[in-house]
Amino acid sequence: MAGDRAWLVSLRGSRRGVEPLAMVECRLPEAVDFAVLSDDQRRAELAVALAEAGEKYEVDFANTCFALDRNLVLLKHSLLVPGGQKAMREHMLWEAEQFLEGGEDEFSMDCLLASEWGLLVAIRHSALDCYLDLGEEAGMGQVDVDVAAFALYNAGECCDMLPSADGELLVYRAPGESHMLLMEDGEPLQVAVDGWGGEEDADEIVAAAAQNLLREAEGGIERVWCAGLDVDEWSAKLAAELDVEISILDPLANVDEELLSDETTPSQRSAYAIAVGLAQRGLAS
Amino acid sequence: MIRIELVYGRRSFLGNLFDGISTVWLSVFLAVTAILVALYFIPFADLFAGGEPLAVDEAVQRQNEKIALAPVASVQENPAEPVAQEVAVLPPVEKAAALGSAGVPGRVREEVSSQEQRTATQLRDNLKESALVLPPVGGPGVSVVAADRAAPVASTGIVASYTTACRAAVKVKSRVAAGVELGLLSCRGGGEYELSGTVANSRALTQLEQSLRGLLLDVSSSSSREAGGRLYFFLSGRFADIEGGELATVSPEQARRLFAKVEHWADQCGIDGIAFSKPTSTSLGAAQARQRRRLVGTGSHAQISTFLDRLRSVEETAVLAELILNPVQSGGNSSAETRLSAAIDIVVGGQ
Repeated sequence: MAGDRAWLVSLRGSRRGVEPLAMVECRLPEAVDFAVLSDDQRRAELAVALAEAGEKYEVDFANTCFALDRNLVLLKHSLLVPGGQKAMREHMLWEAEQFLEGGEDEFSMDCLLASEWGLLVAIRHSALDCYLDLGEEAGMGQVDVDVAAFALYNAGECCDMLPSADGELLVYRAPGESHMLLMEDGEPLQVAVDGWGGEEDADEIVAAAAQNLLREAEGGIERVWCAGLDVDEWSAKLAAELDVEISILDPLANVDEELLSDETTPSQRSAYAIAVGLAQRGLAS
Repeated sequence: MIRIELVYGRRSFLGNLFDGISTVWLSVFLAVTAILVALYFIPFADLFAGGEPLAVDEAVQRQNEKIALAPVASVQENPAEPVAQEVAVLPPVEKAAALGSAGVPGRVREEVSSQEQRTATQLRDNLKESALVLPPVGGPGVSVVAADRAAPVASTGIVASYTTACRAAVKVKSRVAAGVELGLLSCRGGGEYELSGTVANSRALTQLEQSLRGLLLDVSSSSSREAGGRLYFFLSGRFADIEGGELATVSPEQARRLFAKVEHWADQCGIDGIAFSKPTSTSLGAAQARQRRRLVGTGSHAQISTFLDRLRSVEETAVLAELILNPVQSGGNSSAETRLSAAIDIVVGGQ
């Protein structure tokens, strides 16, 4: 969900590989943010809208995964300490408690451990409950959540496009926000999320954020993967700004062509990249 | 596949089923159920028909134990037993084919025009007042701290003037005008600065940028409008190029004493609530290792400034690799107190 829109994707795994059953872009009653999610009345209206869209377009909600609102999730990069995974996790959680008052009592946390660094992901229990309540109110079965940038990567990996280079940047742009993930040697190095209002220059903000991340990549970036609404238009501008090879991330690139319509282009399908990544997570579980 | 688990165990099927029922009642319910099941299976007829009472007693006891334990164990071992497997009925195969022939597989655009695509706005309420939103620790509205990234580990790679770069954070903070509500200020040993918070309007943000340009290079910012009308900003910049010799290598015993000294200084400077993490060690090769400890506490501008000055006196052997200052919010207003989190590095030899 971004702004007042939601992208719903239903996938099924079969002998033919992944089969898309439904891909829906629908309007929501209002722009979704934490205020909507935490308000019983407004969340109920959102749940009704999602349930109606699901029913109308036969989206299977038995196993549903939401991308977390960009304002509700915290990601922190840390160098890892030598030792086993347990020691690394403990160290990262200790570090997190320096920023997050209440620690594990207040937050749900998990760590993503790469070879030399780790990413800590944290969300308040109360915020997480809002998603679980939303799923319950919309008549969904099992509900899960994920970070949008991670789902973006999973979409690319599941369609065999990623990892493709030692250093690559993934960019997803939706109305009012962008999600980026910097990958180094096939491992997630850094995440950046940006938002903008009506009068602000989204192209400029996205380019600046991408450049900031590029500076983080010590080995340089060989390719930038772009996905999202109107991707052809903004990715061309981004390519000019960054002077790096740009590719469109089609989350259904390895799906049997017979299951796809001739009318859709990889660029159009890229708008569903995060939703496909979330669905892929459900298939893998 | 990148996979994190945040929901795990949060709400299981059993959790939902017994939501609102206290654990005491749940225990009573399970115990009564176990007894009823046990009573159902006990061969009372055999018991009263004579035979060998002792053998029957043993059999009943064994059966009771087995039955009574079973439900409790299943609850404990599978707290998050999902029900989705039971209800995950996928639509029939014909659907996919139908979707494929009907255009985009199931893709329906509802009243979305290209003009509308840029009109979505973020109705973000005041970050400070929200019970849900996390403290601003990175980009606009977000969440990304590139902590520790700057500490290079090649050769020893740790430059003795890191403390100087981080120490300038106090100067940076002092240049923040009164109208700026600073959410977080972080600095890494390499000199990279990040500030986030809210300002009244874009003019105030421009003024803040200008005031910092004297101290920082490559100042850039991004912002987004808050629901309350204020501008949320994220500003980054770089302290002047960091130069200096590499950090001297000390023995493990010297390192221990240095860390103890640092903790003592923090206490002396009046910093409250001091917590000092255990040392973590990263190999630098050639029998050297970087030891890091993180000190956190709360203090006033002057107290923190004094502490950083003290640290500077040992910057040949111990450096400040990262500094994060987080003004303490009380009643929605910033107080004079600031939460400090400082990563201190020492290069230790003879490892």
